[in-house]
Amino acid sequence: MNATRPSADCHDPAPRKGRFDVSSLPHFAIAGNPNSGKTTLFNRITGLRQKVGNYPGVTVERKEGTVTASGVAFQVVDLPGTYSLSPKSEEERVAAEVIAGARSDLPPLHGVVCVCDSTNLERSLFLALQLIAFKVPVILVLNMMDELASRGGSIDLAKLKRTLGVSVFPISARTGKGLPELLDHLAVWARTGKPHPKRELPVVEPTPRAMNRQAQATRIAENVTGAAARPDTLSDRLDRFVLHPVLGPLIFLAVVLIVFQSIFTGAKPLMEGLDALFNGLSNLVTANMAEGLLRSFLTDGVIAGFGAVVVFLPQILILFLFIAVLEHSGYMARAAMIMDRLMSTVGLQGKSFLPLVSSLACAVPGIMATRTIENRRDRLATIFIAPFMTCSARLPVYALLIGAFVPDKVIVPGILGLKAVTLLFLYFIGFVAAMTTAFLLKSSILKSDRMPFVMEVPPYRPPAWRSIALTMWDRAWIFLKRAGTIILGVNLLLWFLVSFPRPEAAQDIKMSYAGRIGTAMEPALKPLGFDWKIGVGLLSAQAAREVIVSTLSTIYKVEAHDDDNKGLAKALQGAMTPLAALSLLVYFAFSLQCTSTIAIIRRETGRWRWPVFMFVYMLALGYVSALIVYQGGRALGFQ
Amino acid sequence: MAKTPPSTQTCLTDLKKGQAALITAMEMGDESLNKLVEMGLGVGRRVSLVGRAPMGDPVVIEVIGYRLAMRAKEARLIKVAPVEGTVRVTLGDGKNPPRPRRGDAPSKTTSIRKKTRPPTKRSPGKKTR
Repeated sequence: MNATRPSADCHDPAPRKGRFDVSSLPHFAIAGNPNSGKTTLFNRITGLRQKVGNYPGVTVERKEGTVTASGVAFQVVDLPGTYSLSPKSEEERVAAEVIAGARSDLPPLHGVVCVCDSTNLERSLFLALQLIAFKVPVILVLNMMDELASRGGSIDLAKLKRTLGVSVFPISARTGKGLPELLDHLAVWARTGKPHPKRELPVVEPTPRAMNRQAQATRIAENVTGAAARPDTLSDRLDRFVLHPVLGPLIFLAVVLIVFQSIFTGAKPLMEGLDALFNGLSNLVTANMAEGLLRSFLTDGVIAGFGAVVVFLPQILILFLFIAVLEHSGYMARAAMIMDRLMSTVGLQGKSFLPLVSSLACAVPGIMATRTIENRRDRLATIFIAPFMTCSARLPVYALLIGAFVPDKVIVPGILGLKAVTLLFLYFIGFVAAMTTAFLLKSSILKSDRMPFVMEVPPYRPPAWRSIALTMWDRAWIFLKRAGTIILGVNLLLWFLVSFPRPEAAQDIKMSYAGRIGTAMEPALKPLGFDWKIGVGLLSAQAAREVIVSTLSTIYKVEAHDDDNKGLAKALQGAMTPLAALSLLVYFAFSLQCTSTIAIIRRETGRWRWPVFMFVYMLALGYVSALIVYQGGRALGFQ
Repeated sequence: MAKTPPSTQTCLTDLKKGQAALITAMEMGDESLNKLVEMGLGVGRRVSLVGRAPMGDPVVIEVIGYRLAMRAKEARLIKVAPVEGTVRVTLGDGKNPPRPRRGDAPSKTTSIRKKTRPPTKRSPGKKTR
């Protein structure tokens, strides 16, 4: 693994030449436990001047931002939340490397800001003591002081400062209290301090030493506690319902339904609005330009390409709004608990549920949502199986084929017909494929290191809305930048394949490059019951699944999207058998066709090997399954 | 090192809801032990069972002032000795009493079985929180 040599394209943010070279600024790192409000603090002080990228080769995210205080500019790196510096997990390793100055993509630090949860000082001090023992310049930030105060608790800050020998700053990242003083201190530190020399990486701390350190943390916390905080009965009272044997799952189901409906239906008006916008733009160009290649390039290539990227934004924004609210409020941990039993039967964990449910709307935001899973292997396994969940882009294809080929037989009068059963069947096989693949992966290449699964259950807290808004902005930006470029590129490529070579391609699509590829694929497609036209359709479906509908409309020279595609349905009925249609449906259920998904997998996993692996695996599964359906069906005498 | 037969050991999962206990042993590999120690568990630490998830798994425990969810399979490896009566899981009652003693954190290896003996500094009549 090339941990020390980032390649240009995955090194986000790269030091920008010219206008503002952040690599020359003093650097600070923010360390702290998960749920300590560390990220809220980071968002508060960096605002929009932050960038999210990846550390090369790992799934850990890299967050950096620029802060200017008292006229001094400095760079802040938000480290992944860790309970300890002991480098056991990916997150801890990366955090330790950054702090030790051992990463070549980051300069050595001026110092570390250790964020502590003041309502749980004794646990937070464990990491603080490790940092102090590691002899990096460190300051302590006691976050959530407002919460502590409202529960009647207090901490003797002067005593804590004396005991530890470091500066202590009380703040509330949510309300902003205490931040000016912290920023002033950091500004002075940036101006007068200097980068700490590179250190050797910390080693895994032996258990007895860790036990002593925790005992020390407990003692110090006891000594500096002024008034003990009242118990957090609100969380207990809420949990009586949220974790109730009957009510709990019901509340969970309701939450899941709300999230899903919002992504599926709520995003629709926005998506249609964007669609209309791009169509309008396209029409504008068509009306004002002479017919020809350039016009086609602009409308069918560039504008269609941009449209294909931007159309995902409403779903991504809505999903991440919900995720952020659920995480901040603390409900996510309870939801993960409820789902854990079920998910662990295939080797996954409770937090995998939300990405999978989201993938029923679209796998792109679903895969981005796997960010919430801390365990690397569980995260990868969830990413891997997410595309199997029947996404909404498959629906137009399903609707077309089922509408054209499945008779209107009634199974249960008034409720269930054969068409609906077929649709449910397709959803079902997608789900089964997902769970089976998860089981296979977690039993072999992604087998869990036998570490115990523990998850903190934080108290319920009100969300920090500004921080949430910034998180949404980050996600949208990541998507646009990383996935957007690939999606746009593939759309342009597809346009090229369909439009060239001139002038043959204009007359007959069979003569275009795409047509030639389809014809060349025909021998491989015939055993599945497909011909070269379907081949071209499949090629275009690789860009995005639903594109096949318009591509086929073009090929069969029918009007696209006229009420329920009746024209296209008729054309298809003449061109393929019902069995072939079933085979095509199965192929769509299993294969990885969406470039956007491939692009986002690349972004979230940090390397190309995973999306390529997934593509090949799902292609094989799709091909073989379609083959079995068609040939097996033929053997059994079906048509 | 005398080993008491496993069947007589109380596990973390055997505790009743709201019941507190001291950890007497953690029967697991070094790596797992290390991780749990960093999360605040360890022989001699005070731990309580807060509740269980709707399906019974995972269980929620409270240790060093915060709450953890743990799978029952792993929680069963943690052996405990219940402390006197059921103790309400609180962070303090608003007064300013000393925090409860957690027992001595040993610097020896944690597989040594600790004999349970009543905490010496307390008398039954005094409140412990």
